Amino acid sequence: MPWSCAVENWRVTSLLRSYGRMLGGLFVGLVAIWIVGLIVLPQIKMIERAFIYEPKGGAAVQAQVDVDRITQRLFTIQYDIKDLEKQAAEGDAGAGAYAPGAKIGEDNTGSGVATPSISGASQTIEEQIAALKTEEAELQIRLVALEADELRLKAEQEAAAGYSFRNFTTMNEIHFKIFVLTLLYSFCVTLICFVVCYPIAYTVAQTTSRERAALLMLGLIIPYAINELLRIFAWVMILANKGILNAGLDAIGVLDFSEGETIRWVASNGAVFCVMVYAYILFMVFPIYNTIETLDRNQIEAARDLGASTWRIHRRVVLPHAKPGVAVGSIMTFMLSAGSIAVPGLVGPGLHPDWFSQVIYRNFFEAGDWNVGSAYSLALLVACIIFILIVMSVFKVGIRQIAR
Amino acid sequence: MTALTQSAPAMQEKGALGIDWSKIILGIYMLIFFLYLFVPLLIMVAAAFNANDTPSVTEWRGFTLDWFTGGYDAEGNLVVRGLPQESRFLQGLWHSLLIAVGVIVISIPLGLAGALLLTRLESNASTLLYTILVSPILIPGIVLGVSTMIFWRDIFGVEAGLFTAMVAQSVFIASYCMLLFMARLQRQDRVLDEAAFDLGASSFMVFRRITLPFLAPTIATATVIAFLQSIENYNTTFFAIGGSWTLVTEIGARMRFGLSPVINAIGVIFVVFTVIAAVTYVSLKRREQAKAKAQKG
Amino acid sequence: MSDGLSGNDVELRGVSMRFGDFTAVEETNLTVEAGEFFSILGPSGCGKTTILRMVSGFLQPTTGQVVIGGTDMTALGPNRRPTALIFQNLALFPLMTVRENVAFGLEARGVSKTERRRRADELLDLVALRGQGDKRPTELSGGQRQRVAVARALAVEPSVLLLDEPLSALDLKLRQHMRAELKTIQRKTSITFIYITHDQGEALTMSDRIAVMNRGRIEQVARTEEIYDRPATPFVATFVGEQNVFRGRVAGVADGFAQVETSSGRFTGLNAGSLSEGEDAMMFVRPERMGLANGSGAPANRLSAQIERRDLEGPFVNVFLRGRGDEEIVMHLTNAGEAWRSLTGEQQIGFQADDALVMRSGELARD
Repeated sequence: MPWSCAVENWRVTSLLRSYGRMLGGLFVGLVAIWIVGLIVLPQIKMIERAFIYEPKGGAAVQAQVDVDRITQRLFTIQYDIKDLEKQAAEGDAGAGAYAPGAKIGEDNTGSGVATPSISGASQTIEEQIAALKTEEAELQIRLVALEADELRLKAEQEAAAGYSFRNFTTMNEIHFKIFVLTLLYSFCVTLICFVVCYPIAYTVAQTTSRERAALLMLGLIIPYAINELLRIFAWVMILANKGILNAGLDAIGVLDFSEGETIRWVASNGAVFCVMVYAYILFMVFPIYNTIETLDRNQIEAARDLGASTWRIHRRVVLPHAKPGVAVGSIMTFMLSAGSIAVPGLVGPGLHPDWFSQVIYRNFFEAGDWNVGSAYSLALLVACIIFILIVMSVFKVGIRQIAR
Repeated sequence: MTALTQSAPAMQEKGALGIDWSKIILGIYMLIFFLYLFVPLLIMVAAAFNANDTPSVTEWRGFTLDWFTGGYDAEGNLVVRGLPQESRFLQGLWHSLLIAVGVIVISIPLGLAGALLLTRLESNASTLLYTILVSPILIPGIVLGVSTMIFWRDIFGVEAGLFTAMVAQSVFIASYCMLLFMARLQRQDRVLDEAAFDLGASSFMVFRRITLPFLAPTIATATVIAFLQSIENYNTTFFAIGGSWTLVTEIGARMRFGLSPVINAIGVIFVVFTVIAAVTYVSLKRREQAKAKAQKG
Repeated sequence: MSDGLSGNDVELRGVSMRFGDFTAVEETNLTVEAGEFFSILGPSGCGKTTILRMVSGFLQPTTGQVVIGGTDMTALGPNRRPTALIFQNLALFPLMTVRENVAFGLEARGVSKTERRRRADELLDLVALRGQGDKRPTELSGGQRQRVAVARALAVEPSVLLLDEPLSALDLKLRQHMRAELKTIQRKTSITFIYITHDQGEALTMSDRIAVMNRGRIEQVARTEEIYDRPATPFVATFVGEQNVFRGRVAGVADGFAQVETSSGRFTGLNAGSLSEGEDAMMFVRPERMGLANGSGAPANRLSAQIERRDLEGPFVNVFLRGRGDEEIVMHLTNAGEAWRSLTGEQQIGFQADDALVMRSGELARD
């Protein structure tokens, strides 16, 4: 296998040199499949859908229904007319003992009773025929008009369909409010998580004894590793009507179960917040812990020696060092909160306002409107990306530092 | 603030009353935090043994294992639906396992390829590549699930189900695997590769005899982590599973209908497994650290 | 095993190495004879490792060709050349046993397992590591690991063995022992050795010929005695062994000798640099060629200097003096007799004209 040439080509050929053509090609191929098939194309498809407007139902459909009905009616009329004309022809030829009455299947009166044919029968038949013919003429005029309408409405729809922003612009006010509130609440959750878990991360990272550190880590890993749903379930149990919280309040006399008093904690905004913090807080702890752990303890000692207050030490020594960890933790917590479907679905069913993820769910699986769902997903994705970019620039963190 | 600055140098020594206040407050805070983490779990575990149709610890109706085994009366009729009777859960578990195996088969090679590529590519494109390959971890699971579902439906006509769930999960689990491999590869001594080349080895042989053995422990770790992440994933799976279900989505579905102690029973099993796994992991790590220390010394 | 005849010589034809603006190795022509022990000696960063990497195939020279055994190898990778490299940190494969390490090159050549085992064991015998085959490299001592590295390189029967400062991490005793061993192996196998080091003592003991390098340029290539006795440049003179340096101007030239006017006096030495009158010059005298000049047998060059200190270094006594022109002078006296103990104050010292070398002023080796 010939060696690749000059020093100038060093960079790319380093790959070929290390793995050879076959392996190198294999790796490049796998990564290409990953990027294209799993990451890029599905996103493009979703984005494409987000911009396709397929109006469903509405005036065009209604028009079509009307057209169908009228066509059907006309068909009935024409059949009736033919039949009556036949009758008339037969009626002239002889006694009308035979009473052309109930026509099988269809009947204007719907009674199925034979119309007496003798006294005034032929007059009725002729009149009938005339009446029917008049109706036919009317209906045909209407039909033409309706068909034109239908075509027009369809054309309008066609024109509106295809690529457009309509999926976004027709987002009604409620949905938009939900979208914004979801983002806002997620941000609050992130903030709360940070404030709560920073002391923890700091303390665990600064623990000197090996045993204690291991124990504390265990204490953090176990809840982290237990499934999100189960932990939410545990809280739902606590917040349930007959759950611990209410039982506790009952015990101290705030509530009285025997009177049937319970506070509906579940399905309150506070509950959703609380459970969400519980669910995702550990995603904030570990990154911060990792970065603080690499901080040389001596720096803190030195700062203390120089007389710095605790607040100052944290602000000037610890936090700058922990910046990448805080950034990663914030991104993860925000992303998980904004996209959470478990917490809102289980803690706040029927809650107003909903969480945005629930709106997306409904669009896909209840309304069957995949395009609108895609549009909303895209909105969520863009919001998260913007958040990531903001965090990265505020904390001056590069993408490379966001690693486990 | 002044009080703090004044007492700061004295932080090393004992403060007022000879007690280090900050340590105490911190300690209390830590205690509260860990209680906050664990008490709900303990409650959940306890309720699994309560013979109450509604999971509770306040209304205790007697200790029972029925939720785990199913309860039978004297004539052998099924009185209490326990785990073994919940066939949907068991089927869900089976589905979860299938998906997990598929995810492992896809994610490990992809993550490996990504890591191997990025650690050798010394061009400016590598940061862009890295960003793209790490992005699935940073975007909401909904988006992954939804886009996968749409893609396979529109292009290949494959309806949402186990397959799409597996693919959707693989996208970000492969990223996690890649990060694990990269961490390991960065500690690799490249001179060993050179020595091998110098002795006449082909690139393939170097990979087979030097790089892969070096990565073997990480491949094992990555497999376990991929498995765990796949089993317990909810958000992405929920949006890509369509009409089918996994153990976890089934739990979620059931929870919406109301609480049932069978879920507590599942919770207990999960907790037990997790505790065992976590303790094993931590003790293995400590053993490894101790070994490394001994070798140095 | 030893077929190392004419196919083992190494030629560098017009080889240079440039990284952007930086020249690591200036254009060089060099021939290493087949079967010789050749050292490249120089301070860190002088380019000797770069040359080694070019010969082994890890670096492509900017210009020139690398020819081994008459064949142009410039385009070939390290796994295609008949060279084997012993790395500075040995680079033994930690996840393989000693035997697997040694047999690695054979494995790469598709030799069968039993045959590989046999040859690996043979080599382990050769380097006195019999029975260690099943151990891991981490279980061996530093010296043992050295020998594994050598055995591993020898297994591929290279024409040229390249050694990159292999002994620098060892302690003194071990180093001396390994020097002897390497020399023995080289004699036995007649493989061409190219040995990189910054330790001039090492180079002098082991080599047939030495190339002294400084800042990317080879200053002199010669047999060891010549390098020591007849250094070609001030750098070589001061890098190899110790020197007393007198700076001055050439006052006169005659018969291959030059007279140099220095601050300590006018001295005569060999006109090694073919200088002419009036040029700035440096005169070099080895400390062991300096002696006390009181009494009979007066040497041609004499000066008086103030003794500053005397250090006993086992078999020698190092006497440190300061000359009239404030230059430092070192004298090595053999520790025979008690005379040196009474040396103090101002002394007359001297040296023969034949023992002094006069060269143009140039860069000296830094301490």
